[in-house]
Amino acid sequence: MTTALDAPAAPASLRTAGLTAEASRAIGEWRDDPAWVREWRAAGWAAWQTIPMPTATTEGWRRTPLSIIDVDQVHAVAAPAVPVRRVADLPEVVRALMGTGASHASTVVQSNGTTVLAELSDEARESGVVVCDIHEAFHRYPDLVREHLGTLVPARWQPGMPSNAGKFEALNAAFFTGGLFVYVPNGVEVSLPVRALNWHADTDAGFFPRSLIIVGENARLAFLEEYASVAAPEGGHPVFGSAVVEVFVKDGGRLDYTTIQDWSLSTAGFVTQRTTLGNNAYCNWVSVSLGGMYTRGTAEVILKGKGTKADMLGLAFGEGTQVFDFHTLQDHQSAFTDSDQLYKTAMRERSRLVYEGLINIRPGSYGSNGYQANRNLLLDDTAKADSIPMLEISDNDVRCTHGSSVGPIDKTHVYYLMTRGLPRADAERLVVQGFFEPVIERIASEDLKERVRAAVDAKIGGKGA
Amino acid sequence: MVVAPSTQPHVSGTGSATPTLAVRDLRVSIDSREIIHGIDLTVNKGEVHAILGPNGSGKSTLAYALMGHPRYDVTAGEVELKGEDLLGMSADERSRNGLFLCFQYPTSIPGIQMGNFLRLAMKARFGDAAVKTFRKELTEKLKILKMDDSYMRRYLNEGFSGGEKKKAEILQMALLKPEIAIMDETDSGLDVDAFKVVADGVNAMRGPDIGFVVITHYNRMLEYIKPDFVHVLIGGKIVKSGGPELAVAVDQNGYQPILEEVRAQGIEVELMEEAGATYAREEPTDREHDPFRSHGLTGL
Repeated sequence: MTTALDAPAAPASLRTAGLTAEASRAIGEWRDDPAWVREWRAAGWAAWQTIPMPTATTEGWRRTPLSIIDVDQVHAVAAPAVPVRRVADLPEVVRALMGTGASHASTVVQSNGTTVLAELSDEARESGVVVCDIHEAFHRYPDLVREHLGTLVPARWQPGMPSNAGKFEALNAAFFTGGLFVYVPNGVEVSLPVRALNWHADTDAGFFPRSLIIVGENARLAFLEEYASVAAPEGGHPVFGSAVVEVFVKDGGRLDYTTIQDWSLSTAGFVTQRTTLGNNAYCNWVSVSLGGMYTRGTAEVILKGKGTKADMLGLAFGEGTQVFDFHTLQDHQSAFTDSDQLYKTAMRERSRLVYEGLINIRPGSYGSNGYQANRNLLLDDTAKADSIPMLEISDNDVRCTHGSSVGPIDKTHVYYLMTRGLPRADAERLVVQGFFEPVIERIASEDLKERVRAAVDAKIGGKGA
Repeated sequence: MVVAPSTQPHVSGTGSATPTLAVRDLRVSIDSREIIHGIDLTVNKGEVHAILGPNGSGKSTLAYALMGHPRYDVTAGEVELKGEDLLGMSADERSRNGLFLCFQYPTSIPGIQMGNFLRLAMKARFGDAAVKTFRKELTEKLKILKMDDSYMRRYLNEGFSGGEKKKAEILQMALLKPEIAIMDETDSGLDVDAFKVVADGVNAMRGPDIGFVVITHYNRMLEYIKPDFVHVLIGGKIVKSGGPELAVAVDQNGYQPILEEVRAQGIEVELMEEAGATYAREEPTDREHDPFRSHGLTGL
C-alpha cells in the first residue's frame, strides 16, 4: 500500500530563504499545518532566538566544536525530492542504503523534508498500524498527535526538563519539515520491523525532521531508522541539521529501536531522541553512529512507569577528524525500574569522542537498578576519548554502577589469536569486530546487523564512510 | 656455563637428522630479570616429554617464550622448529608452522564467536580448503571432548568454567593438528571428570605426527598421559632428565632429593617466583572480574 505523498513543492521564495522568522512561518503554510502546529512552530522560533548559543564554557558543551557551524549560511528548505511508487524507482544512492530490504516489510523513505516512499506491510495495515509523514498525521490523527507532540522534546525548553539547553531542539521546532508518525494500536504486535530512511540530498539547506513514535499498551514494534546525507562541496559549509524523535511506549509495550547515523563526513548534525516508558514497558534501544564530521547525539530514556526496563546500547566508530559528542540520560522516575546502558566506541586517526552519561534516580524510585558502561578503544595515539559517567541518586534501596574505560586494543587478546595462527592485522580486526558484537547483535534486523558489521569492517581497514 | 652430566639434553632415539623441536641453551628474561638460565631440550614427533617442576621454576616462562609472547625476552640460545629458526618468527608464524601452546589461563574475548574463530584459525593454518572440511572435523572433535555444539555460538572462552576453557584449548589443538604441542599445566583447576575428558582428548591425538611437551607440577597428569621422557625444571634449569620412573620418584619423594643431588655436583640452583605465571594471572577478562558488572550489558 502506498500512502498519499502529494506534498506540494515549496514556494520559490522559501528555497533561498535562510533560517528566518518569515521562513519558519512560511514552512507551516507550505505544509498546510493546522493552526496549533503553527503556533507551536512560532514558539520554537522564539526559543531559538532567546536561548543563547552555547559556548565553550557552557556546561555540557565544553568539548563541542560549534565554530564549524555558521547558521547564517543555512537555507531553511531543501530542493524538492521526487516521490516514487516503488523501491526500485528510488535513486541509486538511496537504494544502496536500503540494502535488500528482505527482513522489513514496511518501509518509509524521506528525502529533503518530504516523504518519497511509504510502503506498509499488509499485516501492519490490517492491524491498524500507522506509518506516515508527520504533516499528514496532523490532519489524519489530530488528537493523538496533539496529545503527544512536543511533550517530550518541547519547542520551548521547560524549566526542570532533563536536558542541557534545548537550543537546537528549538531550531528543529521552528523549521521542521518531514519526519514520521508511527503508531501501533494497543495490543497489536508487529512481527516485521518498520524501516525508515532519512536521506538528505541538499548541501545548502538544513535537515530538520521531527518524528513521533507511539507504541500502544501491550503493543510491540521494531523500528529501524537511518539518517544519511550528501557530501558538502569541497571547502564549503558543512551539511547541517537537527533531528528530533519523540518516542512513547505505553504500559506493557515493547519497542526494539535501532537508529543508525550514516551521514557524509562533511555533515554536522544534531539528533535528539527521547523515549518515555509506561508501567512495565520495555525498550531495547541501539544507537549506531558511523558518519558525520560532527555529531551531537542526545539519547534520553525516561523510566516513568513502575517496573519499566530499558537497555540502551551505543556504537560509534570514528576516523579522520570525526567528532562524536554523546549525551545520555537514564531518568528513573518510578519504583522498580531497570536501566542498563552499554556504549562502545572505537576512534582512529584524529577522531574524537565525548561521552557524558547520567543515571538519575529520582525520589520514589526505590528498588531500581541503573547501570552504565562506556568502553572506548583508541586505535591510534592521535585519537581521543573523554568519558564522563555520572550518577545522581535520590532514593534508597537502589543499585547503581557506572564505569568507563579508554585505552588501546587489548594486546592479550591479539596475542591469543595470533598463537592460533591469525596474522596480527587479522587478529586486531577480529578483536575490534568482537568488541562491537555485543552491541550489533541487539539490532532487531539481520540486514542491518550485516550492514553495520560491514561498515565497522570498512572503518577498521581505514576505508569507511 | 656449567652443565652437570645429569642435565645433558636428552637425545631422543629416533635418530632423524632434524629434530622437530630443538632448544639449545635458551635464556629468557622478563623485565630484564632472567628466569630461564639456559635450557636444552629436543622433542621429536611421536614423543611425549613431561616437564616437572615446583611453582616458580620457570615452566610457564619456557612455554610463553617458545610461543613468542612479546613480554618474554629471549636473551641467548636458539630454537629450531623442523630445522627453521623459531625465534625469528612471530607468534602467528610459529602457530602456522606447527607449534601450539595450550594455555594455563586461556584468554576470554567477548564478541568473538567460538565457531567463527575456529574457522578463521583453520583457514590461517591450512588455507581455504580447510574451511570445507571444517564442519565435519569439528563435529568429530566435539564428540571426543564431550562438548555441545552450542559452544560454537558462545563467545571465545567468555563465561566458560575452568574445565570448559581447557576443553576449548584441547579442541583448538585437535583441529590445528600441531607438530609440537606444549601443554602448560592443563590439569590445573580441573575436576576429576573434566580432567579425564581432557586427558582422553590428548591421548586420542597421540601418534607419530605430533610431539608433546607436557608441563605440570603434579604427577596426576602423567598417570593419564604417559610420558616417554621426563625433565625436572628447577630454578630456570633442567636439572635432571630421565624416563617415566623420574616422575614416579618426584611424586613419591618430592623435589628435595633431586635438588640435593644437583647441589652436591656443585651446580647453583635458585628457587624463585614464577613471574610468567604471575603475569598470566594478572589479566582477568572474565565478566566475573568486572567491577562494573550489571545484570546484562555492562560487563561486556
